[in-house]
Amino acid sequence: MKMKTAAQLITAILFFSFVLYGCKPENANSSNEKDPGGFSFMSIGSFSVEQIAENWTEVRDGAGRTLVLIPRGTKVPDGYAPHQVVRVPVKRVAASGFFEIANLKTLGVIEDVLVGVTNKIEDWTIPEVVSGMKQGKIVYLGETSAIDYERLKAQEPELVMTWDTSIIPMLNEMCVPCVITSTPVAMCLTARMRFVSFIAPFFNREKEAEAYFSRVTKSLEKIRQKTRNTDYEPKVMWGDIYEKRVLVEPGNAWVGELVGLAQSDYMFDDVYGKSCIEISLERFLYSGEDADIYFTYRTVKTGATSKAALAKINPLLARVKPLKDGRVYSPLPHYSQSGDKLDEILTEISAILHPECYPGYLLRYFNELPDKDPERTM
Amino acid sequence: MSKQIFNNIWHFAGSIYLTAGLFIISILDLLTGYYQLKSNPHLFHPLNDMGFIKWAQTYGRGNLIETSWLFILICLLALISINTFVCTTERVAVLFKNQAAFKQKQRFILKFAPHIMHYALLIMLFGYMVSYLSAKSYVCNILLPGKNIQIPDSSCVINLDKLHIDYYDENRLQYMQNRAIHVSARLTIKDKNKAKTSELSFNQPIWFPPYSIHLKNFAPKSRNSMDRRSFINLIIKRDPGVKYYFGGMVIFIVGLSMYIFQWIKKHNRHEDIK
Repeated sequence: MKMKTAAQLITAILFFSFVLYGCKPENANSSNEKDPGGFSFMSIGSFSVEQIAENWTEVRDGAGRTLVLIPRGTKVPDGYAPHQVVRVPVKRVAASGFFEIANLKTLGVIEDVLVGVTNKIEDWTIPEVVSGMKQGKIVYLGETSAIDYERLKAQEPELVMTWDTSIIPMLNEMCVPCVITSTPVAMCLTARMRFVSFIAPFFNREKEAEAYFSRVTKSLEKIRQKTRNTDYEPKVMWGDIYEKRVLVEPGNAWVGELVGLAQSDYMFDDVYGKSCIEISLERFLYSGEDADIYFTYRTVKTGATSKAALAKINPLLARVKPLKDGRVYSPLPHYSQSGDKLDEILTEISAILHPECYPGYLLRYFNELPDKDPERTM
Repeated sequence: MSKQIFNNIWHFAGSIYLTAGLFIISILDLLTGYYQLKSNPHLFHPLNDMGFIKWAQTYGRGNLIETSWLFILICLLALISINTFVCTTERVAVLFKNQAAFKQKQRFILKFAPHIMHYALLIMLFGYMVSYLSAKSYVCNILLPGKNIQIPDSSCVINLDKLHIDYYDENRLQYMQNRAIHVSARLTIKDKNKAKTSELSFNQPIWFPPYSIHLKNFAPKSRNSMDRRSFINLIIKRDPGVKYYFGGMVIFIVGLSMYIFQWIKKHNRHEDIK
C-alpha cells in the first residue's frame, strides 16, 4: 500500500512537470528573469547574470568565466582574482567587434565609455565611433590578432569586450578584466535579443536594455502577425563558399529561428553549432538545389555585386537555384554595425522572405543582387 | 512496536515491487529529460563546470519547469540506491545465516558475486554524487607557448613548453589541406613539492593529483587561419569523486569475474553429470 502511495506521488510530480512544460511561454527558451524573493538570476544563452547581493553581481561570459560587478567605492567580496573584478559603472572600454560596439550604442554609452577599437576609421559607419576616432578619444588598437598592448595600456581601459579568448593571458597580466562575447554555440533569437541585458549591468543601463528588448519583441510580434496567413513558404539558405571552406548559419542561430518564425523554411535547420559553422560542399549544394532565397556573407566590397559576379568568384556557387532563378541578397556595409536596430533588421529579413506582406518596402540593410553587373561606359 | 515499524520500512525499502516501480518512473523521467536536454541545451551545459549546487541555485532554480526532471531523477537515484542497498544487504545476511549449508568455502564466497557487483554500483553512484557536489572545474585557461598560468586557489603552475600541431599535407582530401589533424602540447606542471612534464592532447589528459588537465581547444586550426596566435585552452578539474567510481569499477570487475568463474564451474559440473 505504501509503495503504491509513493509511486502515485512520484507519478503525480512527473505528470505536473509534463503539464508545466506544456505551459512554457514562447519567449522563455533562452532567458529567464525572476526576482520574487530576493532571487535574481537571468540566463541568456551561454551568458548569465546573477545578483547575489545589492552591491554584488556575478556574471558568466561566453567562455564560461565568472566576473564580479562591484560598484565603485564598495568592498570586493573575498574569493575573486583582480582580473575578475569589474568596477561599475565602467567608464573606459576597449572593444574588438562591431557587435560589441553596437550593443554599447543600444545602451547609449558609446560616446562616454569607448576608448579603443580594432577596426580602422574607414571601416566604421557608426557616427559616434567615427567622430570619437577623429577627436582622438577612440584609438585604433591594431587588428584583433595583433593588438598593440602598449597602446591599449595607454588608453587605460577598465574593461575589454572581445570575442578572442587568446588575449586573456595578456589582459590578466595587465589586470584588465575582459568579457568574452562569443559562445561555442550560436546565439538563438532570444539570446540575440537579450544579449544587451547581459552587458547592461556593466554600465548600470538595465532600463535601456529592457526598452530595447521590448522594442525588438514588439517587432517580432508584428512579423508573426504579418506572415501568419501567408501560403507561400520560401526556402532560405544563409552562408557562403570560400576557398576550400563552406560556412553557413546553423539552424540554432537566430537567423534560422527567425526564418522559421516568418513562415519560411530554413535549409540548414538540422545543422547545429557555432555561428558561421563549416559544412561540406556537397551539403551546401544539395540544399541549394531547392532554395528560393540565398543570403551571402559577402558584401559589395568582397565581390557580391551581382549573381554573375558571385558565380565568377566561385563557379560552384552557380549551381545553387537562387543564382539561376531565385533571389540573392548581400548585407550592406553598415548591416554588421547595426545591432542596435535589430528590430529593423528582423523586419527587413521578414520583408525579403515575404514581399507580398510588405508592399512598397525599401531595403536598408540588404541589397538584392542583379543578374549581371551593369556594363561600364567609358 | 518501533522494531516492527523499522522492519516494515526496511522490507518496503528492499521490495522488488518498489524496484520495478522506481525503474518505470525513472524511464518516464528520463524521457522528459531527453526532450528538455534537446530543447534547452544552454541550461544544462553550465552543469559541467559550475558544480551541481551552484547550478541548482541558479539555472536549476530559475528554470524549474525545464530542470525539475533532473531533481526528480536525483531523488529517484537515491531511492534506487537505498532499494539496492537494502535488497542486497538482506540477501547477504541470509547468505551468512546459511553459511553452514555450504560444504565448500569457495562456493560460499562465489555466492557473493552479484552482491559485490551491487555494492560496487552503489560506490560508483556515491562517486558521481561526490563529483557533482564537490568537484571543481576551472574553464578557459588560455596558455601561450613559453608562458605559464597558476591554477586558482593553489600554488600549482602550468607552463606550456612546446605546442606541436600537425597539418594535413596530402592531396587525397583537398578540403583538409593545411588543416590541423593532430595537436600535442608539452606541459610542465610544478607544485611546491613535485614537478611533472607530460604530453597533453585530446583524449589524453594529464594527471597531477589532485588535478586533471584536459585540452579543450587550440589555435591555429589551419595554416592560413585568421587566428594566427598559437594557444591552447585548458580545462582543469579537481574531482574527488574519481577515486570512488574507479574503485567501484574495480570492485565490480572483481564481482563480475567471480560470477563468471562460478558460471563456468557450474557449467562444467553439468557437463560432467551428463
